[in-house]
Amino acid sequence: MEITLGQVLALLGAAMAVFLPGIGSARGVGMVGEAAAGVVTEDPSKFSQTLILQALPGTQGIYGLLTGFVVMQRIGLLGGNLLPLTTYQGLLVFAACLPIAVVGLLSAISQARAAAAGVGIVAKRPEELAKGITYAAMVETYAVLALLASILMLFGLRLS
Amino acid sequence: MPRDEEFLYASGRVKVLENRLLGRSVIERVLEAENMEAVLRVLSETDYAPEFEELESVYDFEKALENSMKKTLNTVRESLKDHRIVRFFTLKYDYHNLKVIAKSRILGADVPENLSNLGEIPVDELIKLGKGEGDAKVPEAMKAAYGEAMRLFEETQDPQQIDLFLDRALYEELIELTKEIGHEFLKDYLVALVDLINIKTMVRLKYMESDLKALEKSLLPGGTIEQAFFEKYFKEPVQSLVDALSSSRYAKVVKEGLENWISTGSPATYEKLSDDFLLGILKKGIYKPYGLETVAGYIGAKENEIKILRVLMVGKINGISEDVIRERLRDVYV
Repeated sequence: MEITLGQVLALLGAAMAVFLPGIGSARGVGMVGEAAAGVVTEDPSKFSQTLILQALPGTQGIYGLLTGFVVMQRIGLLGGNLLPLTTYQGLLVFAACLPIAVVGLLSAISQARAAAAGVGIVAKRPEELAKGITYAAMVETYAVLALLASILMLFGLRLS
Repeated sequence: MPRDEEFLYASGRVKVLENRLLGRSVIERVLEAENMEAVLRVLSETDYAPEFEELESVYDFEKALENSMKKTLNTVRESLKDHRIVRFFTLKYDYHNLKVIAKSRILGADVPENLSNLGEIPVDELIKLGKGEGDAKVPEAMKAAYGEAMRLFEETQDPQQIDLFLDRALYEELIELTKEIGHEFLKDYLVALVDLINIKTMVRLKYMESDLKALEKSLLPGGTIEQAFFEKYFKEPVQSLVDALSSSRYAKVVKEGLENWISTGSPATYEKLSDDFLLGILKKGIYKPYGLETVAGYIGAKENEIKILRVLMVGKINGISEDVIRERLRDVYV
């Protein structure tokens, strides 16, 4: 079977959907983890509360992976039967991956900033943890919207 | 300029430690305590408990305060990669030690007293420097400053020259340090600190009827108010300085503080208001979730707290009335 440029572009899209939000989440979870470690050094009882906040920027990486899977499924990679995509079809798949790739990366870092500030709330007023989570979770909206856009586009494309 | 993200761990720690700073209510209870035993009882419920437990006599309270500050500095130091931020706050203790050593050398005393434990240069090395041993492990800048201060003393036989010169050297080094760190927060703090000290110096010298030359030597570098400004108002009544600064950021401090100084002859209110002004700058640290401000603000807040406790302790030991002490009490950080 000959490899087409379309297939390469589609796979590139899938790769970007996975690695960009992955980088964002890794950085984000790391940032909140650092702040949380600072709090726990002085007050170990805050571990579980800060752990919830640390997990929040991790979702973007999952959304990216999900999008990557959808692409693989749509282009037949998972079944071992890669579709012979034209260059334009490949570009369409690539374009569909962009929302989650870009928004995933940036929103994970923004969310981490909000969550790290939430760690400060936990340090001062542990009873107000829910508010800290809510602030950070607001950022999640935009990652979810981007995921939705990417997935809808991918399912809407006629590839075969 | 250091990024906020570099301070995540340290800021997390500081946010917990901020809770342990003394609030207004604790200060109030210390103030209302009838005697030193009652003061110690209140402090035994705070973060100062271990330091005060070790004390043999309450008159050694200074030692306890110093140990508590040392603990804070160590905590921050071990949480940061960049130690220069802590250095910004500890440099003055080294210069204080340098002054003590220079003066004890003049007086021929063998073991200098009143050395601070909070400096970063080992006291033994500074003593070596004082004895004129060339291999003392003291930074070159400090060695040079010490040499120059001693030379000035030889020339004038005036011990005050040592203080003046070393103060200037300290602030020159602080200016360099803030430039190196490159963060606006510390620069802004230093500028305000220098300006407020310079205003005080000018008024003090004016009341002492010193000459312009003394003023020139005493003004510190690094402020926003030019030397020419001070020289101009040095010859005029203090009230005209108040008016001249009425549209500056120091307007409130200068108006209340200096007018009080004019009427009572004591700089206490001015000093209190200056400290409150500087604390106001540091308070940015509370509202920032993480960053240099949070960490530097906390160190400054702790210094402020120690100052408050010192005023309280000295007041209580000497049986000064509650109202008089209250007038001198600084604002609190949290």
